[in-house]
Amino acid sequence: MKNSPILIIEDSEIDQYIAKYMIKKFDENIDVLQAFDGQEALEVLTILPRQPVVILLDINMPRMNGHEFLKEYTASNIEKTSIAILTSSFQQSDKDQCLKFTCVKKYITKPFEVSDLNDLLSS
Amino acid sequence: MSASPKSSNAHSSRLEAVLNTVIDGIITINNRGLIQSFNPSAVRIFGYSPEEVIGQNVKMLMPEPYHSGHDGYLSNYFSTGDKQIIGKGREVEAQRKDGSVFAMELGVNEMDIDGETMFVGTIRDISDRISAEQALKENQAKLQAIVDNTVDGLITIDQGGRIETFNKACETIFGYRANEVIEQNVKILMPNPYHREHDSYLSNYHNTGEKRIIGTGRQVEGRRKNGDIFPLDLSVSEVHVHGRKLYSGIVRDITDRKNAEEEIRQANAELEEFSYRTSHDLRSPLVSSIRLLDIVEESIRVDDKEKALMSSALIQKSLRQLESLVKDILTLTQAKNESEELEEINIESLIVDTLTKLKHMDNFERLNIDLSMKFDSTLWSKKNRMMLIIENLLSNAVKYQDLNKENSFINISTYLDCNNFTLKISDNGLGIPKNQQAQLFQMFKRFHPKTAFGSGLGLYMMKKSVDVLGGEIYFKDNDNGCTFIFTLPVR
Repeated sequence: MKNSPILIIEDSEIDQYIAKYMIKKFDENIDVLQAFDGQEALEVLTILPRQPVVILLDINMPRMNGHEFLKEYTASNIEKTSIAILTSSFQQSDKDQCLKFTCVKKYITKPFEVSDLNDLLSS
Repeated sequence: MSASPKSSNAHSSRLEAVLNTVIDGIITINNRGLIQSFNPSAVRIFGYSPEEVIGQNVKMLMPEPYHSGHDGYLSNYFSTGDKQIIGKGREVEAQRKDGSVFAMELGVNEMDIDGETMFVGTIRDISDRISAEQALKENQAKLQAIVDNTVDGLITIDQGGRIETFNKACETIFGYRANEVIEQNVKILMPNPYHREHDSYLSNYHNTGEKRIIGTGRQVEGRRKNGDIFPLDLSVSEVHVHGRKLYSGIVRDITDRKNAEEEIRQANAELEEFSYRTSHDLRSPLVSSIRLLDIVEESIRVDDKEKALMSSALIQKSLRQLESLVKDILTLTQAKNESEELEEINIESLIVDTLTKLKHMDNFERLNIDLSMKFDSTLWSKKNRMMLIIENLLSNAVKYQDLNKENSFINISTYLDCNNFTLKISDNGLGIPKNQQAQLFQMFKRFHPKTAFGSGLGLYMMKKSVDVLGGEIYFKDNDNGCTFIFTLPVR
């Protein structure tokens, strides 16, 4: 049986590339979905037949940022899954704000390590 | 009738003794104004000896204009009988031997001696009294001048709150003339809730002695005549004048200070945002590059040449982003510090030069660029700032063109509008999302993911430059792209 996909919400194509590389390195069989900001992610999630096992979410993005996405996502009727924040922000207020959402299971400050994925997918 | 020479002698020496000892100066003159007698007090007052003055015209004791007028006074009196000074006392000026002028009280009486009209002048030097009065007057004038000219407003009110004093500074601060507010209740200068509650503050203080503001200063709000409400520093003290209790208040309009504080607060917030965002944005491409190098290494190890090349291309891209961000930050700090001279700007060549610079940008060649230069007056401005503004507007128009459209264009026009130089740049590019247009000129705002890399500083830098030049910049959403209008007053 094929694994559930992982969705990466990240505006930088470089960080998209890195995250995808790390996921594939962890497990070649995981499908990787990509959205370049919160708004695009909501559109993707709404039409997905099967929700991703994990969403990796950046905070600083144009159009709809990570905070705004979490608000919209929580309020929507999309079936909820685990979210890991993946950011280069060291701002405590960013962390506090994100961890208020129960769907946020992990707060990762870049760089992203394979061990982070291990934690996420084993729990 | 013959008077006894002995008693006459005795009488005259008694009289002389009186004349010699009275404190007042006594001078007699004849009907031509010539001095006939000059007693010792007159000597003391004027500094002349009797020998120097007897037989001289009395006007020698007077400064101008009395000096020149005195002969006329006398002849006028003899021809009309019109008494100006005779029989009355008055304050006049006199002149001592040394030329100094002093105030004296002069009484003049007429007498008839052996058919000849004589005048007796009684003189009292009142310069001490006058100078004390003058000192008092001067002191009052000085105080008044101080009160009038202090920058702070001074108000005194009585126990009922009625305004008694309202200095010039108050007039400036509140916009009322003194005569409009004197006798009025001071609460007309206050907005609510102070306006409503002031009477009770006063009566409360009278009844309980509980001081809320008296003797201390505090920040309150004032209301100007035109209804504007503004912040002011107020200190009130209690004064007792002849058994009456007054309150004197010093008010200072602190609108400017408040505004400056607000500006500093904003600048600080901006600085905080700036340091947070720069540290974040500087770190991101570095972290990515380090991770990409790992991938390059791993790829080489497993002989995946394609992946190694792809990753190293991304490293290049990442570092280029970093370089471009650092460049923008440098420009920004320079733009903040730069004090540049005004010079005559050739706007057309500035725009053409900028377009030439932008030719290397991706997809520049597919744009249809239309120039319409109608502005032909002289424009004085700061060239580097102008360049930064034009470069930002044009490079954004190029960078954020909509590749899905067939006929991408940029229309650039200049013209004179209401004495303003106007530069209008329209495009049919990606535009700005409606819900984010309000944040257009804020720091670190980016509106288009994936499309090009922006530091998010461009529009912010541009807005700062527009502010420095004293111009304005507007954004117009034309549903099909952006229009930016930049205006600058022509001197």
